[in-house]
Amino acid sequence: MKQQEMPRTPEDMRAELERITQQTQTLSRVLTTRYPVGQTPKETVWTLNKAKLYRYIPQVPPEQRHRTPLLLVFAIMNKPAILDLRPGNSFVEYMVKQGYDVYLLDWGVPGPEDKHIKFDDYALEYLPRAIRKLKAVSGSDEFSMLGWCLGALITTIYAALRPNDGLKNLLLLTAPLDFSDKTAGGFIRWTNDKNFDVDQILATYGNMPGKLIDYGAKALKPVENYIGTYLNLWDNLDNPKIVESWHAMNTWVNDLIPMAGAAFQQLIKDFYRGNKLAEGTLTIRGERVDLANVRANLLNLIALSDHITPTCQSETVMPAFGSQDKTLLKIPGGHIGIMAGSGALKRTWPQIDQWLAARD
Amino acid sequence: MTQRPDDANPFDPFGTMRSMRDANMEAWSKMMQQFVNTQEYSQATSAMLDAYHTTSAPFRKAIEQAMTQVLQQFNMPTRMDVTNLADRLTNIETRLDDLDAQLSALQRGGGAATGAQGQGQAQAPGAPSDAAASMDPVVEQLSETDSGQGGNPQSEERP
Repeated sequence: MKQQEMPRTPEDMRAELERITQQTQTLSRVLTTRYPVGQTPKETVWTLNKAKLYRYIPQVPPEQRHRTPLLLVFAIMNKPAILDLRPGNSFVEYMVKQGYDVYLLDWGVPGPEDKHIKFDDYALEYLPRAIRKLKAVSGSDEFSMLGWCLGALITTIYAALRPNDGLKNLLLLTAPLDFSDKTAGGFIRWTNDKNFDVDQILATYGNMPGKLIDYGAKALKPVENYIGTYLNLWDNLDNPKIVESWHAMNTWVNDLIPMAGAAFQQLIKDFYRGNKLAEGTLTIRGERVDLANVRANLLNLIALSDHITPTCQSETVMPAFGSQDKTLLKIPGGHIGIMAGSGALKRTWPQIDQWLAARD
Repeated sequence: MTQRPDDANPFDPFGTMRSMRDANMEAWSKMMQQFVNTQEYSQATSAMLDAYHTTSAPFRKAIEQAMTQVLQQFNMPTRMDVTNLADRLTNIETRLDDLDAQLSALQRGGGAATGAQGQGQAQAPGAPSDAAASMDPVVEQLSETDSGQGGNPQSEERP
């Protein structure tokens, strides 16, 4: 909304009132309704407990498609709709149009009965089963996998423990893997505090409540998240494109889900505090997770302004990966912005497409 | 950026706030980010959270116990009952997934008989899943496996 001058005539006054009415309606709509995120056509090809594997309907002729299917794995503390936010600004839609056979693993919303689920289960129970189904449906024994945030942590564990399972290309986005710097970012400071009693939190709630996770994420940038975003909307109520974009993002941000209790406990104790993955002491179901075992081609994407996963948490482990083909790519933007922001279409997605296409 | 008094719009109540923001937002944001990254903030929030959980725990436990007793009196399932049921359902789903994997493997193994469904070409959108696509030949192969060939051809696929 631009700076308005004082209305000086009755016509100006009427136009101003109409503008205000329109803006009030827009504001009310975007704050009280949900944007229909996840519109790219898809089918469910596999389910287990709350988890679902979606296959997106191909939109290019078979002869123009890439051979290797692509599996997207998002974090376990938010819904994966951010990968398919809205038409024209959807990574899934973009990749489908580039000819990829795209699959998305949606972990679902954990209930009280899922509080015992750990990273062990995600990496060695759910993920391999979903991959088996992907292979069956796609007819390909090889596949590419893109993990984002904690999804990248899970895919890394899988890639290290199952290096011969057909994983051809591994793409990590803002992957929190190395927690050796205990001062890098708010999360690691807060969770390393001796008063942060993860056992008591989980004894209280079972799972880590979505509202607490949301508070933690927003408190990292309190001014932007609690004030700036709403002022930004207010400023642009006249701009339908920005309003639509804001609406979609706000819908996703406020669609909170809890995180399985045991997985959260493991995240704090084994990763944030123990740094077991980077130090090579992490064991999953009795198997030591050694990054040197990763054989897949590796693309590690880092967001330069990431306040949730500081760059050092993703970057320093690069030498530890056993992959022959390793690429580290730093992209301007934040944790979510590099994939779902307005610049993603020019800055991030083409890079992913080019890297993958060269290794199809 | 300061608004001139003669340009002030009474219909834009956020005008003043916007002007303030334009001037100070970045500095304010930086200051707050530094604040939440301090050890003092970490200690204060952790201590607050800890105090809340500690003080509320006895009440929460009492409510849970009372609720369980009430539900039992009315012959209603408790949360624990529902949770146990959900666990059992997940176990059944897992077993079904195992069977699905085995059926798929058998289908692939008997590619000549089943038309090598799923091999080398992508399945058409909306097509039935691999296990359900051609059930009869699979059942026949499963019987043969059970009766003579033995072993679990898919065991290496099970996580």
